[in-house]
Amino acid sequence: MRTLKVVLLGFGVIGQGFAETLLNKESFLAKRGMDLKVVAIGERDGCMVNEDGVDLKEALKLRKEGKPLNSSKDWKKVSSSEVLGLVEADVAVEVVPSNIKTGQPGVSLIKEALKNGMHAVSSDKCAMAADFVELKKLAESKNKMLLYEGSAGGAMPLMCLVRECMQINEIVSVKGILNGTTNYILTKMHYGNMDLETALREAQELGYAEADPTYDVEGIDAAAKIVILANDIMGMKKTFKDVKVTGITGITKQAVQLAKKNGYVIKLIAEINGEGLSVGPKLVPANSTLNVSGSLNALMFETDVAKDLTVVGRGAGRIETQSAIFSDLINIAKCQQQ
Amino acid sequence: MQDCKLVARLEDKPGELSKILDIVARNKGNLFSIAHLREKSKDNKVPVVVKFQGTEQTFKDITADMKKAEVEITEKSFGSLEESNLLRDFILIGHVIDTDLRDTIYSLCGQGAMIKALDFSIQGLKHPSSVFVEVVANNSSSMEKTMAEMKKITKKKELLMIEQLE
Repeated sequence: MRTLKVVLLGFGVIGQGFAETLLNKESFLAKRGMDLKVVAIGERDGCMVNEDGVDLKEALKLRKEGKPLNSSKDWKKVSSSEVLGLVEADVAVEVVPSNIKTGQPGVSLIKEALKNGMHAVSSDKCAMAADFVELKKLAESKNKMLLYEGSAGGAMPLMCLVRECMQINEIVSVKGILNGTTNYILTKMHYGNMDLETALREAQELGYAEADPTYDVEGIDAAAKIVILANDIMGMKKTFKDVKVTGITGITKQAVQLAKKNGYVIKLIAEINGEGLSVGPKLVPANSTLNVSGSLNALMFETDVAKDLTVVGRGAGRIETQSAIFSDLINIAKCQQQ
Repeated sequence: MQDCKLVARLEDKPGELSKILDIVARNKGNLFSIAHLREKSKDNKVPVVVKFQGTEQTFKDITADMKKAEVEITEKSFGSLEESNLLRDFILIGHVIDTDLRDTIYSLCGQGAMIKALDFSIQGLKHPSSVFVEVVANNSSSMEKTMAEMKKITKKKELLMIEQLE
């Protein structure tokens, strides 16, 4: 059995989802000859470190009880960046929330992991969008894998789909819904005849929207994701500044109903086409495959051979995102075995 | 195979239509639409729009045979039917009425397109209005010019324009 030693950077919503999924899937992975062992969990003020494997159940229990991880026997007062130089591991899983403009601390952590000879897996859209080209270049120079399927599209297989299953295709354009919060709000406005404020409040009460929904409703979240897709799928060298962004804050209940009356739905569409990268509200025909409801995401590839191909799924979520993260990890494990 | 269109002026008497349909069939044109424009009849002649599919050679042969049969053709197009009736929808949100809607419409029509439909939702002068607009143009160049002009106007008048996804 191949053991893959992992440093988990971040123990927030996604980090805890990772630990839960790993515990739930331990025997599933073992049957496939894989043993993933978390040897360190990096947090803001220190790390849990154990070369034989951090007790994930204990870490989750502490979080559930609202206690800091520093009450664990494995706690060490070292920074996440430092722990990457202290432990021996195969791969770093970076799931910290980073700043959209600077990409920090995610960018530094991924670089540190690569410099210390680890592969890296990230679901951190801010880090990947902020410094995509440099991070890829560094990974290449270190002969390490850097995979980030979960950073754009959550559970939807997008980049790996193009990489593994669409090699013969030239991608002409990419368009779709990459933010579940705004899709939930616009769906409520469409079917529930709500105004934006009411739909947003409901999304916040249900946990679909943050207390500060700016990143979502202003289109920033979708913009970061479309940058990653443009760079990965279409080989561009774009950053957030290259995206023309319009959010949904100007959308009125009346406009949504007018669209409905005329056979359309209004959706926040992220797009890569001949004109560049954009995020903004668009009239989508009601019978389009991109007309997905609630917090679902959908992305359509326009290609020369396969023609139009649409992927629909959950673009975020504590457990759902693990589908992408573990897919990346298993790919790394398989490559190491070869 | 391409879409082809001919507009022929036919005398308003029996047998005239079958004359041109025979020509299309004889040259293996795949006829899919025929329409009399009776409202445009003049000098006892009625314009008839004939649409069919065929190769470039088929199109040439059909127009040549019609000429031989002394059919008056006033319009012909090969491979450009899709451009003959371009439609584009969008919604404007903001103070659309306050910022002179008439001026907005006139500016649009000046670019070669026409407004086919307008649908309003007005909530009083203090609140932003929403207007659904359907524009029709007979070629993509006019449509692009119209949409570019619309974008300029919306910027100037601080309106939000929601375009149709292409």
